[in-house]
Order: sequence, then C-alpha cells, then structure tokens
Amino acid sequence: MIISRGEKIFQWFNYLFLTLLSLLFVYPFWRILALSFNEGYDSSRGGVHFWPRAFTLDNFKTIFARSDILDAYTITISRTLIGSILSILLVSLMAYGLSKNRLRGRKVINMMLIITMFFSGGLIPTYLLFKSLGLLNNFWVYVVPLLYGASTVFIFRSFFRALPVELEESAMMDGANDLTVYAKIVLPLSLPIFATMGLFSAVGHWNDYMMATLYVTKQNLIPMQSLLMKILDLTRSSKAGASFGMVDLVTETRRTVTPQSIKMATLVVVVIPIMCVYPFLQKYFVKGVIIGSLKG
Amino acid sequence: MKKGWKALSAVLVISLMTTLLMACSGNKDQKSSPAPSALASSSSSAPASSEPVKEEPLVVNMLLIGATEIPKETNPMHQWLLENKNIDIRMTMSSGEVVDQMNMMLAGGDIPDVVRYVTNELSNSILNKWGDAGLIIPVDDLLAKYPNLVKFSDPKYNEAVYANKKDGKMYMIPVNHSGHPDVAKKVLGFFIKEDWLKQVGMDAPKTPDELFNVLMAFKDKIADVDGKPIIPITFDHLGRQSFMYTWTKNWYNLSDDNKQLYWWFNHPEIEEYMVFMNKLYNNGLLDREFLTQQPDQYQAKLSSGRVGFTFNTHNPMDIANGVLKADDPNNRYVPSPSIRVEGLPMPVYGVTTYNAFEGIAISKKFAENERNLERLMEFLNWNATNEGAIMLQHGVEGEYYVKNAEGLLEAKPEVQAELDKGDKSFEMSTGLSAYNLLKYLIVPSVTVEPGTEELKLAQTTWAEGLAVDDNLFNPAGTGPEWDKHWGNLWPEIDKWQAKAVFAKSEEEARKITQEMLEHFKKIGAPEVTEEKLRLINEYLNK
Repeated sequence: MIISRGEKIFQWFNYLFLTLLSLLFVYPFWRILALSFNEGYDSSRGGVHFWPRAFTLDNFKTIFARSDILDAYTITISRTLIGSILSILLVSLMAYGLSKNRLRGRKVINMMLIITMFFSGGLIPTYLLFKSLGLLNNFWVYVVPLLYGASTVFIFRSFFRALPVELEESAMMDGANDLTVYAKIVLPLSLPIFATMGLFSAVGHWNDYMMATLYVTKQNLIPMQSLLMKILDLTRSSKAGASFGMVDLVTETRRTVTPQSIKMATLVVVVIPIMCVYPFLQKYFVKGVIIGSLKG
Repeated sequence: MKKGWKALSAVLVISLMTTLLMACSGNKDQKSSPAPSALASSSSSAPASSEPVKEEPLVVNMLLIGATEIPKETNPMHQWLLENKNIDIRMTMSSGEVVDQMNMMLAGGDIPDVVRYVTNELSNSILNKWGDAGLIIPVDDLLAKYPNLVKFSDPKYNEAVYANKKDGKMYMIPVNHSGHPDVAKKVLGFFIKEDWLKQVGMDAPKTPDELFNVLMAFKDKIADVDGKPIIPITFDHLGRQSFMYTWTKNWYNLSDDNKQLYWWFNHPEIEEYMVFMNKLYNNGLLDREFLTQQPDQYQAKLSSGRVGFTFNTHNPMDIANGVLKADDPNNRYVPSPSIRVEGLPMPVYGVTTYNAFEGIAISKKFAENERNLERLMEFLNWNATNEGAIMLQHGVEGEYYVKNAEGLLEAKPEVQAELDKGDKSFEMSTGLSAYNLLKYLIVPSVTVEPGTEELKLAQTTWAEGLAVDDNLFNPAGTGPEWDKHWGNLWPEIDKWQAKAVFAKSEEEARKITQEMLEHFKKIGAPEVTEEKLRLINEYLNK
C-alpha cells in the first residue's frame, strides 16, 4: 500500500507525540528510581533528574537490613497468593451458581450481595465480629474477610452468562455435572476474567496495610506495607538529637541516607514487584476488561 | 461415576469449610492454653510448701498504642529484667490511628494488662470512657503512694487535662514528659551561613534592622555559588509563619489579664511584618519562591549553600551541613539568635509543657490480683528513679555505654555506629530504652548531649525563643464559631501575604494590610476571638 507524504508526516508526528507522552508518564517513576540509588545528602542538593549522581545502595540497605523484613515479605507474599487464589476460586464458584436461572433463592442472594455494596457494618461492629471469629492477631484476618467482593461476583456472573449455553448443554448431555462443566468448560474459557480479577485481588492484597493497622498487633504478622510505613515514620522522626546522616569529621564516618532518600527506596520496593508481574498478565487484563464491559 | 464426583465435590466443600473454621478458631485455641508463667502470675493462692519460694516472674502483657517500634521478643534487656527484677514484660504494638484502636478496644471490652497510649484530647476522653466502663482502674491512690511517678507532672494540669470529668479520678499515669522545661530541646530557630557572616565581618543579627543590614552585605559581597545567584533570605511555610512572631509574639498573643487576644489576622503589628517583608523583597533580598516552593526545593537551596538566612527545625540545617561540610568544614549553617523588635514581647517559637505525651493505664482484670498490681507498681516506681531509668535506657554500665572524662555516659564507637543508622534496629535488638516504660527523665542529664555540633550550639542560641506553655489556651477548647470560621481564616494568610509582600511600595503594602484586616473582620475573626476569650474565662472559673 502506498502511503502518501502527508500520512508519513502524520505517522512521524504521531510516534513523536506518543513517545513524548510516554516519557512524561514514565519520568516520575524513573526519577524515583534514580533518587533511590543516589546518596540522600547529594539528592538534597537537587539536580538529580535521570541518573544517580552519587550511586549508593545505602538506601536499600537501610530497608533490607531490618531482620523483620523477611517476615513481612513472607506475610505479604503468602496472603497475596493464598488470598487471591482462594478468593477467585470461591467468587467464581458463587458467580457460576448465580449465573444459572434454575438456582433457587437466586434473587434473594443477589439482593443480599447488592446490599453489601452500599452498606457496611462499620469499624466497631467489624472489629467485634473479627474478635468473635478469632481473627484478631491471626494470619487469616488478611484472607477470610477479603474472600468475597460483591462487585467481583457480579463481574464473574456477567461473564459466565455471556458464555454459549450450548457448550454447557452438550457437556451435560455427555454426563458432566455442574462442577465438571465449571472445571472443564467454563474455567478454560474464562481465563481473561480470572486473570483480570486475580490481578486486582493480588494488587489489593499486596498494597493493603489497613487490616494490619486495625486488627494485628503481633509484629511477626505485619505485612510489607505496614513495615514500610513504620520505616517511613521512623525516618521522618524529628526527635531532637537524631543524628540521622550527620557527618562525623572525627571518625570520618559518613551516613548518606535521609528521610527523603528512604522514601524513594521504599516506593521502589513497593512498586517494583507488582510491576514485574503485570506484563505477564497484561494481555488478559486488557481482554478481560473489554469483554466484561461489552457483555454486561 | 456421577455419585463419585458428587462425593468428591462434597468432600471438597466440607474440607474447605473446615479449614476456614479451623483457621478462625486458631486464635481461640492459643488463648485457652496460656503459658505456665501466666498461670502462676494470675494465681492468687500461696504455695503449700512451708519453705519460702521465689515468686514466679510477673508476666505483664503490655500494648503500646501509637508506638512505631517494639523490641524483639528475646533481647538482653528483657532477660536482665527477668533475672534481676523478676518481671516478664511482653509487648505488642498497634500502629493504627490511636483513637480508632482505643474505640475498638472499648467496644470489645478487652484491655491487655497494661496499655500505654499517645495522649491527645480525643484519646484522653476515650481512656476516661474505659474508666467509666470499668475496664481500667483509677490510679489516684497509686500516684499518692508512689509520688515519684508524677515528679515531672503539674497536678493542676493533670486535673484539668487528664482527670475524668465525671468522677474527678485519674485513670492513667502520665508519662513521657519530654516537653518539660527542664529537658526540652531547642529544635527551632533561625540559622545563618557562618562563613558568609565572617566574610562580611558582621555579627549575627538580633533586630530587623540588623538583619536587613546583614542581608544587604550578603547581597553585595557574597559571590554566586556554582554559577547560581545567592538567596540572602528564604522561608518555607513554617519559617515565614515563625518570622512573623518577631512582631506578633506567637500565632496567638493573649494578654496577661486574659482580656485581649490577638491572632495574626487582627494583630496591630502585622502591618510592620508585611512592610518589612516588602522591603526585603523590593531590595532583592527575599527569595521570590518563598510562598510557593516545595520542601525538596527549599532543602535543595539550603544544601547547595546558596541561602544566607532562614528559619526552621534543626533537621534541614543538619542535612544541609552534612552536604556542605563534607567538602569544607567551614562551610556551614549555624544557629542564629531570635530577631526582636524593641518594645515588643520576645517572640516565642516553641513552648515547653507539662503535658505527658503518653499515658499508662492498668486493666481492672490485671489489678484484681493485688500482689501483681503491687509488683507492677514497684517496678514502675523503680523505673521512676535515676538508677532505674539509667539502667533501662542505657543497659549495664560498660556494656554499651561508658563514662567519659566528664563523667557522662557515652556510647561506645561500635554502638554509636549502630545508633547513627537511625532505624532503631539496635535499640530493638538490645531492648535499650524500650523498657523505660515511663520514659523517665534524668535531670540533670547523665549522657553526652546528642545531636550535631550545630544542634548543641542551638541549645544556648535558641534558648530565648522557648517559653513555658500557659496551659490555658489549648485546654480551654474551641467552639462553634471556631468550627465555622477557622477553616476560612487561616488559609487566607498566604494570599494576602503575596499581595502585600510583592507590592511595589511601602504605602501599597500598608494599604493592602489594612484591607486584609478589614476583610477578616467580615469573615469571622471577631466572632472567633470573642468565643475563645469566653471559653478561656469559663475554663478559668471552673
């Protein structure tokens, strides 16, 4: 196909514009990365835009030197994996059932779900409920309360309804029961929505710190986000005499970290893991969002 | 085949449900089988043997609300306390909003043996609700029996701020008096470029006129820094508000007879502040970005060594000095005295207070065992001695700290290196300071003055700007007029400052300031002032 000169110019302009726009979006993260690898004192002078001027790993050493970081990572990874997988499995099972018109009491269950979308118990009743269930200071407080989300159930339900009924009917004619149809027909066809909702759930678990803040006091049970908040709180401390980063000319020891540089390193530690996972799920994410929106 | 799948499905569902139920009951199982020492400590019966038996260690489950760190479970200090004081303090920490945590515990009706919380108006009020609900014990008798616990408290302050308004009892032991006049650090003040001052051959300024002259000398005689023009004076939000105190004394100025109250938006001297700032601006001395710059921009200017004079906490000063002194030890900021106008009150940049930043409450359940309560109080009473506080704060002498030539405790070099990391990992692994439950103050101090050389200088240079809190203004509270108007009044500062400071002439600056004062009369300033004076009056007459 012959492209006219005007179209070529437009294409170049397009590429240039989109490249600049991408750089605009990426640059803040890039700068955070650069600052996280730069000495805190040197960063305080300003002028670090693209590359570290005084490279150091001290900012990350300050975070990872803590012995409780392993515990925190373990808790976060465990809850993300267990919580997301269990949640998606249970929600999809519920949604599959609700997608069948023959299910008795379907309308009542739907109504109960809708009510939970608009109203919640509030902080104190929820605390009392968790206390009575023995979830306080327990790993499962990160998983059990977040297993079901009404909106997720509805999204799954809409997706399942859109699947061809004929596939299920033919499977049933071959002797499959509901669970077999779910496992062998519906689930493989629903990978986009599973991946999408799985990603949402995983990100929610990864970023959550509120559950630990409200319901956990044991330090070996706090997740990564809460630990990082603690680190930020410590470095922000303006306690008189905090010799954070002073230059000691007598012993020539020099600290290089400042609260700002720790903050940058903290952001990197928080964001990078999820950013590493996202590219593998991106195609499912895009497909799932589109399919879900069209067939609602 | 079909039956097989059904059976398998049923098994799967049942096992999932069972797992969930087991998980939920996991915590209950842990609670139902307490450790032997807990059983021993809660037992009130004496041993049957006729020989005197050493008591089991007193187990105290302590919750810290609002703390940022707790020590590791096994640490040397914990072990020392177990062996020498026969007490096993088990700490947990809740790091959420103090008020939310306390409200949840009130609703749950479950308080650990001892709770230490961060005090503020709301949390104090919830604590008193704990008292009303019978969850904690009143401590008046205990404080009377162990007066050392309230050595740094003001009884009138305690009665006004902490005591339960319903029954007049104290339900908490006030602790952490780090704002006490005897120990409070001076952390706020002006600082000035020392090498520039030497270069222009002038002394640190103490009046606005002296300040103007020094800044003009900087402008005329100090060369650009790294190709960028110098900034004789700049401020961030804290700085410009504090500089205003040179004329207004503080953000509020209550007369001695409590009949007149000035804020910045009705203060008669605010015009002189605006005129002086306008003069600085029109003479090219004031940073044009002082109203809009972000904290990292402000810090970058300081750290680049381009700023001559500013006001802030010691933190930006220390960070900037950390950068500048690395290349040249003489290139640094040093604390500068307060700027004062003759005839006007000394500006107050910081206040010392009898406020207890934290409080300790004892649960009724724990106190039911009188012997346990007695043992706990004996421990706290020991904590409230110099000997106890030194031990809890610094450990066994010679292990982490040694006495220097002046007889002051100084951290060993390897310990100092760990402390300098600033991440509290050393303190938490050793337990140092964590078991100083009262955060008891030792006066006079027995440790070397912490902080940078410049912060140590500031303890004398910035002493003038520190006053004792009148313990009146804040406890008097606020009312509906405050709620209605304050949100409109305070944000207007920067808007009017921008107009007046950037005016072309002094006359224009004065005119704008008068317009500002008239404007505030229309948007609630008189109502807020009258209400506050009335509340203070009511508070005094209580």
